This record gives sequence, structure tokens and C-alpha cells, in this order.
Amino acid sequence: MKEVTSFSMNSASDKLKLENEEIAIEVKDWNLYYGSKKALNGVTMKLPKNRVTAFIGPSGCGKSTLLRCFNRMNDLIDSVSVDGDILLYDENMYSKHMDVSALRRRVGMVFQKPNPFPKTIFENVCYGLRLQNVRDKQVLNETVEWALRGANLWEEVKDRLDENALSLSGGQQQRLCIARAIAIKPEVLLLDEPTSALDPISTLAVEELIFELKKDFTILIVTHNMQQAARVSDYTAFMYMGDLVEYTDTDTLFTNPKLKQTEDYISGRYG
Amino acid sequence: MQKKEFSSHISNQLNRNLEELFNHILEMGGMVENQLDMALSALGNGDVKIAKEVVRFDKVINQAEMEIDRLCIRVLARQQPTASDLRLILATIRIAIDLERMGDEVCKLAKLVIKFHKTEPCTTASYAGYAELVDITTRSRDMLKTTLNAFARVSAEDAISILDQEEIVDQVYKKARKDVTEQFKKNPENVECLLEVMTALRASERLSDHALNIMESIIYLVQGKDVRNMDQERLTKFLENL
Repeated sequence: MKEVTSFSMNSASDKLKLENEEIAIEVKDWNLYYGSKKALNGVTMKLPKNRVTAFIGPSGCGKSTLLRCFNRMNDLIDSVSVDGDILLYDENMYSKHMDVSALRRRVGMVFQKPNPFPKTIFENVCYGLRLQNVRDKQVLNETVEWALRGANLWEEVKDRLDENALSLSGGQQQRLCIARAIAIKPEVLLLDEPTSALDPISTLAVEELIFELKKDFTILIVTHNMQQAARVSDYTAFMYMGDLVEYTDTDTLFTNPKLKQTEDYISGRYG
Repeated sequence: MQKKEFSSHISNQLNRNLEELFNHILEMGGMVENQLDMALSALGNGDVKIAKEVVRFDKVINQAEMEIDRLCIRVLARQQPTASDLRLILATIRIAIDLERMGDEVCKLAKLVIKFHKTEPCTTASYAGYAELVDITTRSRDMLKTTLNAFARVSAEDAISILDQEEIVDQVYKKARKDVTEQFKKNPENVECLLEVMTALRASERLSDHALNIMESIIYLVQGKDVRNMDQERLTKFLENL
């Protein structure tokens, strides 16, 4: 009989460690101002590849602002100014030579409210590809099927790809938006409260999808729902008033956070 | 960490439930302490009436454990506690299990008194190991008292004293076992009574193990560190650095 010398349930006892991870995005002393108001305060962090990192914190803490920095969405707001560095695989996102459209192809985003275009399901998914001048019908067909399967929506819509996307339910629309985002095969996927407008079952479907998608993508998610952060993420960052307060593996953050401020927030105490 | 932190949630319902958990554990701990006092009294005087009362009381302790489990399940299902709240739930479940088992062990002590009463040659407390049995049981009761105070204060400060006590209990237990074994050889006609004493000795030693387990659960609650199975040296070092 084989001798048993130790017992370890990998899923329970193997703790993730940031120093063992390959890093997709590195944020270095990052500050962001809305006019004269400072919204992000010297944020420094490393975001690991093929992992889900959740950003939590009260309203106005800067988590969505930070998320938008990762594909330069804040460029669209006139009053915003930034300093510091954000590197995507050692490439400075904010360098003068960065092609922002190319960056956004590499860093896709899904928003809180499902926002499909008033077009067919098929056209929604291949919209990004058409922008990239992909004309080959076979490539389009294959990509649409791949993206819809990836978004766990294919079985539900495969016979109605020509129908208007607005005819789908809210949960389906959100998964369609995820399919649209992954169709152009970005490296990073930003999810800004992707399930806050969805019912619990659709929420679970999207969460399951997030778990599947991390095999191919690096996922950053902003959520107000702490249980969701606890369920889906590998790492969690707690932010408060523009500061990154505590950032560690999700198991530690939700069972034994280092700082009282984090503990008070996640356990719903008066700070 | 302070106990008042468990009543500072925005959700008053969670505050109430966690307060209830604290109270339930202290109440259940008090029951086991009381049961231990009665068992000591029965052991000291050979009082069968009290011994029978101890055995009857075990049912109440078992019910308390189930009640604590139910409350823990409710809090887990409805309030999804995190961080120290979550650790409190886990610690509470573990402590309730240890208290329930302590109750079972105390019953074994009481049953010894009952059996001695029934068996003609075993009417005195002059058997080898009997004094140690009382000694270990008294120490275990004191250890339990210390751990319950530590739980009430949410403090792991007294952990080292529990470790010291546990070591003394182990030594006394070893000596008692040796004495009883000697008696087996010298007075084989008393084997039945000596076996009973041995069983009771083992039970009393287990009492101190459970008290130590409870302290480990309190350390987990306070420090978030699972110290079970840590060897004595490492554990002492860890506790000294708290």
C-alpha cells in the first residue's frame, strides 16, 4: 500500500502569491486628478496575468476611475490629468507613441449596463472585427461562434443570430457584450460592475463565465458586491478615498485582512 | 481585537446574532464547568446521586451544541460573514464540539463513581491513580475556566498558561498510568476496578486536550492563525511573539 505522509487539499491550502505570478499590468505611483481634485493617490500595484483581480471599496473610492485608466477611457474626459506609469507587459500605456485604438483592442471593456448595438446578434459580436477590416466570411463566422461559446451564450442564440440583439434578456445582453469584447481577442478584460443590472441567475452565469475566461484573459473587475469579489476573484484590492489600502490574495483579504480599515469595510462595520 | 468590535456592524441583526453566539458558548461552557464541579464533588465523596445528575446533564449540553450549530448555519446562510466574523463562526463551531466532547468525558468520570458504588471491592478511593484523577480533573476544570475567560475577552493572552498546564497534566497522567500498571501486576484481583480508573484517567486527560483545543480556536479567532498541530516549541515561540 502506498504510504501517505501528508494530506493537502490543493484548492484549500495552496495560497496564491503575487511574487510567483507573471505580471500583465504594472501600476507605478499613479495619480489622477479631476481638475484640481485628486481622485487617485499614488497607486502602485502589479496585476497578474490570467487571474481575476477585483477592486472593491465604497462609492467614490476611485476603483472605477482606476479601471478606466487601464484602457485610457479617462482620456475622453477633458478635466482629467494623470501622472505616474501604467505598463502593459512593460509597454507604457501612457507614452506619447501609444496608439490608443490599438491599446483598446488589447484591453477590452464591459460596462455596468448591457449596451448592445441595435443590430443583429451576429453583427454585435463581429463589430470589432469589421472595424479591423476583417472581411473573410469564414473567419467572421468562426470568431462569432467562438466568442459566443466563450461567453456561454452560443447554445441560447445559435438559431437566432440574425435577430436584433435588443430582443435578448438583460443577462443574455450582458453576455453578448462580453462576447463582443472577447471577439477581438484582447489580452485584458475590464469589467465595470458587470452584473449589477442582472438577476441572480444571470449574475451566476456571468460569474461562471469570468471563471472560464481567465484561462485566456487577464480580468479586472470592479464590483460593489463583496460576495461577488470573494466568489470570482483570485486577488482583491480594497480602495478608499483614492488610496489603494490593501491588496492581497482574495482568501486572505476575506478571512484575515491585515488592516482594520479593510476588516471594517468587508465586514460591514462602522469605520 | 476587542469584543465590542463584534457589535459594531451596520447590520444590527448581525450584531445580535454574534452576541448570541458569544453568550451561547459562554453559557454552554458554564454548563460543562458546572458538570465538572459536580463530577469532582462526586469523585471526592463517592456521591452516586450527584454522579447520576452529571450523566443526566449531558443531554442538555448536547442540545446546546446543536443550538449553536443552528445559529452558525443561520448566520452563514443569511449574513455571509467575513474576516473576524467568519473566524468567530468557525471558532464557535469548533469550541462547541470540544465542549460537547468534554461533557462526554465528564460523564465517564461520573460513571466511574457509579460503577465503584455498585462493585463491592471498589468502595474506597484508595486505588492507584485516583488522586491523580482528581488532580487532572481539577486542573482541566481550571483550564476550561481560563479558556472561557479568554473567549469572553477575545484574548489569546492566557494561551501560554494553558500550554504549561497541559504539560503538567501530561506528566501527572503518565505517572498515574505507570502506577496503575504496577497495581495490575501486584493486585490482579482488582483488575476490573483498575481498568475503570484507567478509563477515567484517560477521560480526564482528554478534558485538558479539549481545553487546549478551545484555546487554539481562540488563537485562530484573534490572530487568524491555525496553530493546531503546531509542535510545542513553535507554538510557544508564536505565542511569545503575539
